[in-house]
Amino acid sequence: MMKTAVDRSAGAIALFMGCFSLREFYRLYPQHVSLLGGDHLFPGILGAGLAASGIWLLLFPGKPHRDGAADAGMEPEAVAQASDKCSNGASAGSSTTAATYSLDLKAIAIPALLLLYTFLIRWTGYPAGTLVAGVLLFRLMGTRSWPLSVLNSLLLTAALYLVFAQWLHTPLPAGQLSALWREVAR
Amino acid sequence: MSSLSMLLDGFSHALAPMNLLMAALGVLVGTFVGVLPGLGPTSSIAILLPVTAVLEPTQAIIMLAGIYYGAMYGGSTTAILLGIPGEASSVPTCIDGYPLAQQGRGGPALGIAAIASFAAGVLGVFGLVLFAPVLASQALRFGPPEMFSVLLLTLVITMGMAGGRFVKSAIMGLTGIVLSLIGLGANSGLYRFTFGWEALEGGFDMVSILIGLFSIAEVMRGISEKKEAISTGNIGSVYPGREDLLRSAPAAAAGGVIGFFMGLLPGCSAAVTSFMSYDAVKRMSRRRHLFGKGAIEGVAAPEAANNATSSAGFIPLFALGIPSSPPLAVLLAGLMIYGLTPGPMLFEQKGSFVWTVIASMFIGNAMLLVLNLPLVGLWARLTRVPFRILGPVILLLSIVGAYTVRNNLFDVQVAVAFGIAGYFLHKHDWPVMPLVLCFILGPMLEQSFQQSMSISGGSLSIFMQRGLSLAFILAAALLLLFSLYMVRRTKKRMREERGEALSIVNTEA
Repeated sequence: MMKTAVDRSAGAIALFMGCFSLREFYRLYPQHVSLLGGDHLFPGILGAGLAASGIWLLLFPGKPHRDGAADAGMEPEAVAQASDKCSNGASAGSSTTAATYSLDLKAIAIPALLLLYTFLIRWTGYPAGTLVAGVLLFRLMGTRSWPLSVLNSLLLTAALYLVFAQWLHTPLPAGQLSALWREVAR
Repeated sequence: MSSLSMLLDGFSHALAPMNLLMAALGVLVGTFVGVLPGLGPTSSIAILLPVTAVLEPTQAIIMLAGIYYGAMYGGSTTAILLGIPGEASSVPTCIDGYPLAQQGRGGPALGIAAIASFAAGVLGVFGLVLFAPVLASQALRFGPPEMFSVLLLTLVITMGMAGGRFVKSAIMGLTGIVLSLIGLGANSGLYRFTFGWEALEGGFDMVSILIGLFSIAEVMRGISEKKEAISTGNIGSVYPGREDLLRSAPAAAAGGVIGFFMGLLPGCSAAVTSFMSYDAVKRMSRRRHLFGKGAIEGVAAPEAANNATSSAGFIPLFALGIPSSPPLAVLLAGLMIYGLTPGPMLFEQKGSFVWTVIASMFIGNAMLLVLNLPLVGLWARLTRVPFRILGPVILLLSIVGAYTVRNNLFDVQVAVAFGIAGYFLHKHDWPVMPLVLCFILGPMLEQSFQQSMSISGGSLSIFMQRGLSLAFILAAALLLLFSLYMVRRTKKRMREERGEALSIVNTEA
């Protein structure tokens, strides 16, 4: 049931994207050079393809049981071996069965924290922003002690700064607060 | 003087102690910079170009070639050990390299990557020596219709790589092309798919997408699976065994040949050839069911193709002055800074210099092997570092890497968004490879199609009238039919096997 619902949702998203792409085709068509020449063509083809694939997935979603061997493009002989393993109680390709792990709040917290970091770094600049984000990431990922997280983060922030900013001369965000601080100091 | 004697003359110059030192330094620096996500060969050469300004022209170019090869190899190290392909050409290496690292075989995988890179690099340089003038003139016959057809063939290959999931692959591939079209349209000068949002006007950067789909998603998966380390088992031997070498040799040879010949074509980047060679070797292999789960051949083929393409790219660059990939375009700038103008007269006017550079490529490839093989054990130990330490390091390194490409925080946010998408796509078993490859090929596909339409006055028959183009289209059609047949046959066999198993169970019951 899960797979059917996921496939249907994906089909709806594909259909939605296809409609957007067709809308771009409609918007760009007046600028065309010829029927097949111009910026409108690819959005049109892609939109039609996405919409058709989306409708297909909505109407014919995958079966709840996963056809792992067919997915892997296996030879019939290999399939037979896999079936043997299955009948012996071993789960063929269990290592690649992606849907076995459960959704973890910690996993979702990572992108949330990284997004927060991208907003924080605008204000604080690279050193302070990265230090704070690093401490939180180390804590989130299992470093139990706060001082150790701070130390790890400090080392990582310094190492990245040395490599990117000092050695490779890549400009890292200075931050609005540090600019303000410099103004005040002046 | 024949090519061979000129090459020997080149060797006598390249083996000078200072030149050797420059090659070694270039390879080391290139490998180190290539390991950093976001910094591929293009940015490595561009960043380090001013560093070479203090050197003599020959030494500078030798060092730049070393950086180029080193950066190509460095990208595969993180792809294999951490599942982070720093650039698109390392994505196929990641497919089998990372599962091997998870099984505690990161060392052999890295060793095979180094050996396959070396072998294919040498093969490519031999091709450069022997066939440069002939192949360069043939490459000119490869126009936009041929380019479009070859890209079409690559797209069909992508569908094949995803196994039986054709509709899902199609959706992912089409989405990849749509994402690649975001930004300014080449014909109308109007923005496409930006919906008035200014941040989208520059389009998405490929590195951000790769970092999101692979690094961030991988760390999210690691957390949700409560992973202790990438590999918790015994690392075992860090060098590839005899069996690994025997299995990898044909794959590396196939990858090298595909990489070399496809690499001659302008626009056919290492990303395209590494995907092509991976698929070709997978199709030819008897162990194809192991591909994607840790087949050593799956590392050898794309790595060989990657390096052979790099070497082959020097042929149109030296003989015609056409850079076939972005890193070579930067290298071309380097050549011109040192007063070397590539083109048909280059071999006659600056023969000694050119042959010294070609000889230094042999040396650079050998250095790559000599310097990197002893480091394999050290790199392989990275997979044993506790995930609670490695995870934040991967994340912050990736984030800074994504930022440094265009010095833009929007790219970092894009990487995070693709990280979330990658996590859910993997969770629900949707293939991400078609999205990645189609994102890379999308602009090339559209450009070659539009150029073909301009040449033909809007007639599709141009693709059928030109021999090479027709051959590629027929190959694509045959490959598609073959893939469909194989999937159908496999599914039928599966049903039969399941039916038999069920009937046995029922009888026993």
